[in-house]
Amino acid sequence: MSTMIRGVAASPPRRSAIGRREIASGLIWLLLLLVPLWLPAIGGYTDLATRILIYGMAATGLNLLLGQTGGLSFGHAAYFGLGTYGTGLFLIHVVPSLPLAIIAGTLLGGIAAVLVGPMVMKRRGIYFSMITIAFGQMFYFVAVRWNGLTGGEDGLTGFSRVPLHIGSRSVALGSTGYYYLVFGLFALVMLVVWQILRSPLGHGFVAARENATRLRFLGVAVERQIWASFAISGFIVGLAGSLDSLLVNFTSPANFQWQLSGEFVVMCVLGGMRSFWGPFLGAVIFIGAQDYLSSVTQNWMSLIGLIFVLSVLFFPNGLLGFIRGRARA
Amino acid sequence: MSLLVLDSVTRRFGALQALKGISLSVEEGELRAIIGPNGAGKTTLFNLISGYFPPSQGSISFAGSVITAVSPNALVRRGIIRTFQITQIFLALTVYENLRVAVECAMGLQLRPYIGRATRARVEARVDELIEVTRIGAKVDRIAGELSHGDQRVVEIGIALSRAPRLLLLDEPTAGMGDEETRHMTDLIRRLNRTNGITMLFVEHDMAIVFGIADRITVLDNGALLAEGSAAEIAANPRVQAAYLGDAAGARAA
Repeated sequence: MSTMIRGVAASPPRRSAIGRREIASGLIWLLLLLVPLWLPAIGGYTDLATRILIYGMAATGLNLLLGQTGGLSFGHAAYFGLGTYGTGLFLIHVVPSLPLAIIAGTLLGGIAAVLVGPMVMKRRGIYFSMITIAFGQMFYFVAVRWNGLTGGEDGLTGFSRVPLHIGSRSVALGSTGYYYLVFGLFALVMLVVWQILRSPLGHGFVAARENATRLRFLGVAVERQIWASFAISGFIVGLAGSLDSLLVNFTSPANFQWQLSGEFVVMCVLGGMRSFWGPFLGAVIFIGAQDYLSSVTQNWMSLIGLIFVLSVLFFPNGLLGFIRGRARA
Repeated sequence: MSLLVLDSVTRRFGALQALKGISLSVEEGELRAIIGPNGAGKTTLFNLISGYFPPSQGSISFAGSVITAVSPNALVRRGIIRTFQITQIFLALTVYENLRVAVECAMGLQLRPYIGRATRARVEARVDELIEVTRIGAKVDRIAGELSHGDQRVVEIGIALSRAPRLLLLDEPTAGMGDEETRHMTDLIRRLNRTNGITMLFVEHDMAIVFGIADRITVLDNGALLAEGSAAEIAANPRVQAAYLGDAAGARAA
């Protein structure tokens, strides 16, 4: 993992150095592609890398709204949670098909975001955040109370990663196989986000963040821009949730809770909200630290809190922002 | 035909009458200055014309249709574009990115996650046009927030031009600028009016600029229309001299 960070460090922001930046990106992709080869050698395990990809995907999805559009959502766990339950319930009650279950979870999370969007898009700042939390908690209580369907506080079990059917062949997905499935979807999400950021839609997100008044006086319905951002991030976070439920064959109301929403935000801030790779890098640090620290101490959360406070104090633009600032100076 | 007509427009804020029965008309292609002491109602007038709030009484029409109850968004689409006293640009973006997002929004692309090569080329060509007309070419890759105040105002006008305005409202375009910047802005305003034929209304405190470039001048005082006419007429108007200009400006214009 440290190699990965150094790879990113080599990417300065200036146009003249675009070559180095692409090399850094290429290096990240290569490292991710070869994870099952090198991760065990440094004491990791493949499921950890899968988890990092999943949370990195969720953080990148949230960051479309948070870092690019400037909407601080403390409720995105709702769409993650819906992704997990959508996939689990689909496998249990509808068809034991992996691709359809993933699509079902993604749609459930995404469509919920599409519906919630209009109710939050008119608010700014703290009010926006409060409403997103409120909706997140609403889904949480539904998951807790609707015992018959969701398993209540105990969570949802009884589903598992069924084999993937390719043509007439049936492929069971072990740790490595599932890693590559997640990797493929992660790559797809990164491609989509990259494309959005270089499109008029993404330019509009950033413009809404920078100066909504200006944008409005260009005749743009800023709310629709925020809604679009909210919805797209909801689909991506929903997909991440779906993949998470298939990683552990389990989900619980904790996946709806605002703590998880907060963790997504922390990942974005840690890595750098203004950078393409920032949220993913934040997930690497967060999940990596969580995995390591929780094996050392029960109080790992306070250590993560400490890391967060220090990083906000010393790297207010996230780790990638800091590295870029150094490269520019 | 007059492009903009205000007919007995009054605007009250509670007990305060910010504008009292203003009637005026602006011809197509005109460069009109609005002057008056602080609190005369100049910015209120702009807010009414751009649809920020409706008049309490009276009507406003633009290009032959009444726009009294039309929203700011819809007015922008009809071609009434304004700038603000406080510069409104995208500070964290480069000059190029500022103009590009403005052009993309003007072309109605702001919800498109993908545009083809031909559309992209149209966007870029339009951005290049704006860069050329505002002469900001040397600074396109600079972060807008790091530019001088004068250059930021130029970027703001570039953004406004992205919508191909029929009527451009400039609120104190040279406020807070040095001599060089002021001259650059004055040149730009004149060029946009004379070469590009854009009808403009501008609020300005610098009388040298007002008398130097405006076709006609409207003088507001305490919410009422005090006088209207050419630079020479305004300079010679004793009521204006008494209320506002003082002897020095009168002498200069004469």
